[in-house]
Amino acid sequence: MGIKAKVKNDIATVKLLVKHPMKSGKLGGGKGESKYINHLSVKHGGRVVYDMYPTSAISKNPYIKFAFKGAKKGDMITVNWTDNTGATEKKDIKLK
Amino acid sequence: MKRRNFLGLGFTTLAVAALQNTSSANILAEHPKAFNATKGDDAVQGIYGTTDVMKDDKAVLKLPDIAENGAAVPVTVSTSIENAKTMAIIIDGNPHPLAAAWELSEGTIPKFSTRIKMKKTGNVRLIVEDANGKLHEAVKQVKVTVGGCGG
Repeated sequence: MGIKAKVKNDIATVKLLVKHPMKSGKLGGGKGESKYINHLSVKHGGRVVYDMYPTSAISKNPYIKFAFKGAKKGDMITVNWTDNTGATEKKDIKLK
Repeated sequence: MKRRNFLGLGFTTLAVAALQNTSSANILAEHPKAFNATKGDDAVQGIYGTTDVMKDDKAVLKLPDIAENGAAVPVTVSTSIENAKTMAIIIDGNPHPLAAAWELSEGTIPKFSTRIKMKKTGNVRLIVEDANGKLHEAVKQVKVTVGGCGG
């Protein structure tokens, strides 16, 4: 998972690139198994600053961009996703 | 996998999701039918319990007019509404029209970019739920030259 997070005037802009197949399972007459992220959240301190419920209609290797207020350089954010098969990934990064 | 194990896994996933997000609701856990809906209006009904929307300029949807690759269509959704509660992207031409939903919280700037898959030419809709539970909608037609729902 690639994360870029920069702060300017107390607003943090976060760009994420998650490595994930985001498979719908529809290929080949719907016999394939689906595997897609169904929850992705970002926390800053104790608060949730991004809370997304994707589906398999989000493109492979999802790109996500958002911004939140009340941030300063050096703060930590935690990105956490879960997919429909129960797989998860969690990553902490310092705001630049 | 045994049925009981499978159910257990499901509950574990839900419990983890609930722990991650104690400050607000969990759209997926509360409205699973919306995610399985095969019609756009059923997805909207599934989340919000109504399909009454106001078509105004408060929901803003930025998409290309023509998508050469339906597997990755860049989209930016935003709203001018203060303290909006949720946003959802509905792609009417997809097998499951609900593409993504967001819970908004204090401090989050309600402007998100991502890439979506579109099976065919059709309307993409953004629904924004304001603090009073009223729905605002933006609609844009996107022409897809190569569909991208495989995989």
